[in-house]
This record gives sequence, C-alpha cells and structure tokens, in this order.
Amino acid sequence: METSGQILTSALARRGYGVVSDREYYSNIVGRHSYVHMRVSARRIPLSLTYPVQLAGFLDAESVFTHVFDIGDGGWLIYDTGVSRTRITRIPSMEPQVRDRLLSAYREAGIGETVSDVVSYLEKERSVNIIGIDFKQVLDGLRKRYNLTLGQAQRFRSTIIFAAMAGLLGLDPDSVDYGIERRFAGRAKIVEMNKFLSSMIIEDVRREYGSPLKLSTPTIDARELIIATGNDIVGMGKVVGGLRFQSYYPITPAADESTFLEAHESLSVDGEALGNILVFQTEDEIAAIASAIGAGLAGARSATATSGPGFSLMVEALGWAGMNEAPVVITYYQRGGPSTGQPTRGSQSDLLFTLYASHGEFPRIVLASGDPEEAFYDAINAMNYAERYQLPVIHLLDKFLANSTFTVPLPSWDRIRIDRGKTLLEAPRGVFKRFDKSEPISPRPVLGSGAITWHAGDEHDEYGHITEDPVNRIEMYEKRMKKLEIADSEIPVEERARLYGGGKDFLLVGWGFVKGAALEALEVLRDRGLEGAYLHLRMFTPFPTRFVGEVLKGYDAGRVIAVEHNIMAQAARVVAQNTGFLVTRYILKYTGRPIYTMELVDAVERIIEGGVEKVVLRYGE
Amino acid sequence: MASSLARYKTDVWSDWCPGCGDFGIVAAMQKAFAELDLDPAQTVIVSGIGCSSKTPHFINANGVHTLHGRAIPFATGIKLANPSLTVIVNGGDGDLLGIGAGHFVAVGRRNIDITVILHNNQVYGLTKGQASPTLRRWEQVKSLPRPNIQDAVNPIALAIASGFTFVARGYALWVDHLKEIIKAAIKHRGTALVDVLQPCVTYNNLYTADFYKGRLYKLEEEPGWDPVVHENSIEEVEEKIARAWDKALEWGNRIPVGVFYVNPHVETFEDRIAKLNPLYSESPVARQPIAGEDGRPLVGVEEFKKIFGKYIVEVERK
Amino acid sequence: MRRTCATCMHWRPHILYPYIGFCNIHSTLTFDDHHCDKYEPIKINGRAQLYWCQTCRTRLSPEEAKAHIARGDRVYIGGYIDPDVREEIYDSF
Repeated sequence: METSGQILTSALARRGYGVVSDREYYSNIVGRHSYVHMRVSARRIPLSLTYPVQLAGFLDAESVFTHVFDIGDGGWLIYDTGVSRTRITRIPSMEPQVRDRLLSAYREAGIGETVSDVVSYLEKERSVNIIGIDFKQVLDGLRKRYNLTLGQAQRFRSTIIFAAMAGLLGLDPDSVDYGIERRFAGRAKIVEMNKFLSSMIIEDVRREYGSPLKLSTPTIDARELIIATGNDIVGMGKVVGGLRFQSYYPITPAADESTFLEAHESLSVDGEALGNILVFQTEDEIAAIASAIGAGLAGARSATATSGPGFSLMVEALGWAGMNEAPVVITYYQRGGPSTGQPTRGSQSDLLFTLYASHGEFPRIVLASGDPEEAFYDAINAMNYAERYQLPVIHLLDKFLANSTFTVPLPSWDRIRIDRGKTLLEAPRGVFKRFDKSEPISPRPVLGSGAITWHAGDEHDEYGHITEDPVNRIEMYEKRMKKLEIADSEIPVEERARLYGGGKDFLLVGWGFVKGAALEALEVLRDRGLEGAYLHLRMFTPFPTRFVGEVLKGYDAGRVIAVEHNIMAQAARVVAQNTGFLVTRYILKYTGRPIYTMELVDAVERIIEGGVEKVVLRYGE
Repeated sequence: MASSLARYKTDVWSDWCPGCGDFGIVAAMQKAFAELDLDPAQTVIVSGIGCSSKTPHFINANGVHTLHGRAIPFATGIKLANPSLTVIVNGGDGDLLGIGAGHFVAVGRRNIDITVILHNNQVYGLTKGQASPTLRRWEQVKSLPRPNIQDAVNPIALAIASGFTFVARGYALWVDHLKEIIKAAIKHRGTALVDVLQPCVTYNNLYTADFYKGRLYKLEEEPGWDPVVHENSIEEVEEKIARAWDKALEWGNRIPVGVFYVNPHVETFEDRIAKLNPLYSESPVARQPIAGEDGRPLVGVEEFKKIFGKYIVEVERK
Repeated sequence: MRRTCATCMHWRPHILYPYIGFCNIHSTLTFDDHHCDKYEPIKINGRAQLYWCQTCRTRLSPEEAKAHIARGDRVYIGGYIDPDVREEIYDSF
C-alpha cells in the first residue's frame, strides 16, 4: 500500500494537487492490517483527513471487512475478486474485538460474512460502484507478456491498485509514469513494466467506467512541491538550521527522522562538502541526550529525537542541561501512552510531562508544531532558541504529523536565520566565568575555544565550581529563570499562538495536528451557519499569556472548546494555569487515530447547539 | 618539555577525607598532564557523581561534572563533536560499573579515543558506605548492617570483554606508577581503562592501605610480561587477551597492577566515522560553520534543492 | 485432492497472498494451482519440528499440525516471506 500511495502522491503533485496521506499501522513488522488514508485537493494543501472516502482500493480481505462503513454512498471500490469467498471469521490477524464489533454491525446492516456479501451490500444498499479485479489473472497476464517469473510479476499487486485509482481520478498517464519513475528511480526494468501495466489498467478502467472521479483543475500556486513525511520535514529543517550532531536510540515514531538524517549525513552540493552531520546511535536514550548535551558543550548544534518512553529516560539529563545552561533540542514525537501504550498510534498526552519533567525548577522552552510548514521552521527555531537562551528546548510533534506524507510548498528562506546567541567558538585563553552573573545570559565559550570552564549539576558559582552559599544560590537560581522572561519578551507572539477566523459563535482551542481538522471544520461550520474561530497554541513555555488571555476574553465560557488528543485536555489546563480562563467544553479523542473533520464538525454542533459539554470522538479503525 | 605542575592546579579546596585515595589520583593526573604538556584549554575532564567525580574541580582543565553514571555518554558527545580534544572520564565504581555499566560496555564497543579512570574503592562513599559493584560476596565493610550478597564485577575482565583497547590497573597511593599508566592511557588511541584501587579511609575497613601493602605487585616486573598486541594477528590478539584475562582474575594474596592489555591496531570510532565521511577528520562537527556572517544558513534554497532533490516534485500543469 | 502446489509439501505459501507461494524444489514462486511431476502431498511425518498453518497464520507443532489438518486448515511445512516485503511496509521517498 505504501508503494501505491507514494506513486499516486507523486503523480498528483506533478500536476499541482495537494495531498495528505495518513499511514495507520500496527506495532508489528508484517501481517497485520495497515492502510493509507489520503486526501487530495485541487484548491489547497490539505492538512486534515475525513470520512467517508470516495474511493477505496483493497489488496486483501481484511481491508474490505474493516473499511466497509468508511466508503461513501455512490463511492468506488476496487478489490481482488480472488478473496471473494473469504469469511470475516477466518482472518487470523483481525483482533477479536474488531471482529466482534464489525460482526454486530454487519448483523444490524444485514451483511453476511464473506467478502462478496460485503461487496454486494455496498453495491445494493450503498450504491457503491464495484471494480472487481482478479489479481491472480492480471499478474499471470503480466508474467506471460514479459516472460517474467512469478516472483517478479507478483510485485505488481500495488500497481493494479494505483493504476485503477489513477484511471478513475482521470490522471493522465504521463503523470503516473512520472510517479513510477520517482518511486523506482534507477530500476529501469521495473519502471518499464510498471508503466506498461499501469497504462493498460488505466485504459481498461477508462474504457469501462470513464473517469467518474475526475479532479478539477488545480489552482494551488506552487511551482515545486516537497513530498515528505513529518519526520522528513523536521530532518530537513535541522539540516537547514545547522544541526551537526544528532543522537538517538531507535523508537517509534521518532526513528525515521534519524534514519533520514543518516542518509544525509554528508552535506555535499555539486561535489563540494558544505559540512557533515554526525548521527550517533546510542545504547539508550540516556546516552542519547547526554551525548547531545556533550556535543553542544563542544560547540556543535545538537539534538536528539525520541518518543515518550525515551523521553522518560532523558528526564534527569534534561535537568542537567537546565542547570548548566546547556543548549540541547529534544524532538519529541508523541505516541499513545502510558508505558508502551500504542507505539504506532498518535496522541497528545505528553504536554504536561514535557512542561514539568525533571526535578527542581529550571527554564525550558516547549513548542509544538501543527503542520509540516510549522514543523520545518520550528525545527530551526528550536535550535536557535536553545543556543540563544542556553537551555533545553523540547519540540513536540505527534505521530499523525510524523508519519503522514504531505505535499509541502518550498519554504521561504527570507525568514530563516541562524542565531547562536552568545556562543563563542573562539575565546580568550584561560579560566573563564562560564556563568557570569552580570547578565542572565552569559557568554558561552565552547569546550576547545581556548577558555577553561567548569560545569556541574550541583549548584555552582560563576566559574562552574560547586557552592552551597545561599546568596549565590539566589543569584544563580534567578539568573537561570530570568532567561525565560527574556525569551517571553523576545519571541514574537505569532510564533507562539495564532487565531484563525474571528467568528464569535464558538472558539476551538487546540494544538499540534488538531490544526488541520480545526481549520477545515471552521469552513464547514460556516456553511452550516456557525461562525467560529480557532486558537492554535504553539508555545507552552514561555506561554503567550497576554495574547491568549485577550482572545479568550471575547468568548463566553460555554463557547470555548478544547480540542485535543488526550483525556485530560492538557493544553486547556495550561491555558487555565496561565490565564485563569477555565475551559469547560471539550472535544477529545484518544483512540490513537486522528481527529477527522466530519466528526469534529458534528461534535462542535452538539456542544454549541445541543448543549453537550464534552464529546469523545471515536471514528476510525 | 614538561610544564609545571602548578599549571594544572586550581585553588578550589578539596573536601575529600584526609587520606582519601582520590588525592593520589588527582596528583597522578596532574603530573601526567604536566609531563605530557597537555593544553588545559584543549583537555576536558568529565565526571559522574560521587566523591571521585569532584575531581574536575581540582584540576585546571575544562571540567564537566555530570550525572550519576552518565559521564561516559557526556564525554562521548564531547569527543565525537570535537575529536581534537583530550577527553578523560573520572568516576567511581558505583558510577561506572553500577548505574553506568551499560555505557561502560558501549564505549568499549566503539573504541572511542577517551581515557576512563575508575576510582575503585568497593563502596559508595558519598552516601555513607554502601556496597559498590566491586565489593565481593559475603564481605561486610563497616557501615553495612549485613554482609554483601551480590557478586563483584571484575572491571579489568569487563573492559576486555567490552572491547577496550587499553586496560590497566594502578594503585592510588603509588602516584608515580599510576602517573605512568595514565600517561600511556592518554597517549593510546582508543578507549582506555585505568582501574585505580584506592582505600576509602572512612568506610572501607577491609581494603585498606595495609591490605594492599604486600599484596600488590607490578605486572611489568614479571619476567616476559608483554601486554601489547604487536602484529595484530588473530592468534596474537587471542593470546594477549587470554593472558590478560588470567591476570584479571587474580585477587587475594597477590594482586597485579600495571598494564594488562593494549591493542593499538583497532580503528577508533572517530576513524570509522571518517571512513564514511572524510570531511569529519578534517573538520570536527563542533567547529564547522553553519551560517554566513549575516546569519543566513549555509544550506540556502539552492543547496536545499540539491541535497533533497529526490523529495521535490516540479509541478508541470497540463 | 487436486495435485497442485496448494497441497504440495514442497510449497510455501506467501503469508499475505497465499494464491502464490515458493516452491522449494524449483526455487521459484508459483501460483497455487500450478502442478508438476515433483508433487508430493503434505505429510506430518515428524521430520519437521514446526509447521505453518496458513489459515491461522501461525507456527504449529507436529501434533497441532495434525489437528489443524483434521479440521480443514491449510497446513504447510513453512510460509514464504517476500524478501522485499519491506518495500510494501514503509519506504519513505
């Protein structure tokens, strides 16, 4: 399914369409149900997902069974007729709870237990257009035509799917060929066979069905589109931002970023080396953050990428960085917790943890990205903040953003600056007051700069030597915390929170990947007569208290709704703590699946028009 | 030319117990630094937590006093970011072999060019004398309410098994002997362990200076002792490791100090990185420019398009 | 029983798309309805210590294998894992 999604995405991007695709998968290697859920737009870069789908393509029986209710009336279904007789009760990889839930829904809808029962239900009751393809027969034809072994021919299963979809969407064969060339670059024979097979299928589909889902002419203003996952985009931001050291211990859903960086360790352009990034796989997450801090002390821009369980291990060292005013960036991809939780599913349940992790009090910056563009700039800004304010920066993302694939317009370089603050790569020789108290932010000579400095996790004097003197304690404590006030006064508010729309009927308050669904929900609700707004929170410390407070003043408490992927409405608590405004309406989702636009729209209506206080969302398998 | 010892001293008062072996270790380090003429500004001493980990504050060189058990990963980040620095780790037996044992093993696997000085006194001094990972089973030092029921880990054997390419043991009160070992360890390219036996005058009533007196002997005074791998054949490496291993297990009436094993032929982690990435050996990542004078990133839009070309689709409307 | 790959002891079904599988004799993939003169029906003779039930997609002991066959499951000596299956799992651009 990955291959199909990638080729279609490339083909669509080639013609200027915006695409987002969410990858939903189990925490295993192979054999469980995984799927790609795409959204295509001719008008804009889509950032949200919704149901029902208009077009579904399935390679196996489990997918048909799982997604029967996800297909819209009058939609299109492509499936393998070879699995028609398979029964839902004979899918060993389907979880018993899922099967039981589906079976009872089937009974209610009068659906039998086989794939053909499901298909005929869709056809008769839901007027879904069915395209049944005998995969085995198609592969056999391909084998004969190209004199292939079956081993070669069987690779083209996914070609059948993407080509049939391309046909229905009315994509021209050149764009599909382009997608194939990109996907299989350097593998001429595979490219040729894919092109042959896909053009044959596109033609067959057109002849028989036309192009019933033909997309409108794209109007997105972009000459180039990056196709990348959130993990990739953060990696790209780090490369541009001057990252030189990345440590990591493998963990889902963060590891892809480090693997991406490893593939780009050597920054060569036209044979000239601009620099190189050292990507270091450590023995655990403690070593990951400790080595990143060490590299930062030596003067390299450094970061580590992890998820909840990894960050739990990093917490002690986080405090060391705070105490020693050491720059380090932790790129934190949230997944479902607690404990192992749901490794491959999304969540926003670690905000409070990142705000308070580690004992003692020290300044930190916590920022969160809501879409790929924000993630790119935030990755750069996080490194700037870490060096400018000499503190740990936690850059929060969620699995939804991390593992979805997006078409992203090329970022603007006008806004990008590297700010290393008072970092000194060269310093006068000799003993240096690393923690000079005359200003909250002291000059920071790196190890090897010529200066001699000391650092200690103990409370220390200006030289970094241990002292328990009470007066020094006050001064150092306040010096460190003062940096947060400086950051608060310097970092522009538009980088920390943003209000979208101005309608007074309701205000959604959210963060992270909620942004896409919230923005789309605003539009849908406007068409339905509700004018609202969305307050997107991006920095949680230092918190944009005045701005957020002002926005909230414009709304009755009953019209302000927290929208989050957790059960506690964590961001709403941070809002209350900083502004005193108590959010009392909630739309929450904690299944591990993204918030879909249609369920968000429905929930807002239930709260604003139906008087409900809290809606827990549950759509998606 | 050796530089003066005073160059490596700070005026920070040491709060160790009088008679603590740590004094001997610091003295040996300062002498070794002086004889090697190390530049204090290009030398970094990284420590964990415990009495021994206060060491950096008493030596005039960069000092990074980190977390319990984590000196090695901090040191690793520093060294990898700038391999031209001389990086030395000081830690106790609890620090390096208890809470930090995983890092001890990992640094050996990598053979990073750092020197690990293990202050080995069989107890947790700063927390008032609990058993450390090098205290042997059924031993009961004075502040233990009952005898120790865990077995001891053997630092020399563990280092060899983990891939350290320089493995030695010294004695804190034989300062000049220890100094020579530390010098050899620093000069060695690769991960070096110096296991330093030291009395804890306050809490360890078993392994006292009296205990060690008469039991310690110097390996280099043994006839025919040669710990160095010269030819780097598999046979030679196996033989040298086997002999070092035998010596590592000796304890009781005769306790060896000196160099157990040296293999200068194993490529360091830094060499391995440079093999994949030639720029790394010319220009440490910590010293590379990342932006122009105006703060614009070195990777501008054109460079970006070249580096990430395969992620970029040129839109071609039809 | 039809003498095709689907019931042959030399055949290892693709664990996700069992209409194809790997033939150990010819070292190639075949469709399940293919047949050749090397055909041998699957026997649980105790030589193999583990079997593969395609119906349940799980490994079986010989005793379990017999029980699964008795209830009509498709049991084989082993399953086939496509060496390039990684490409279908996740391969970012």
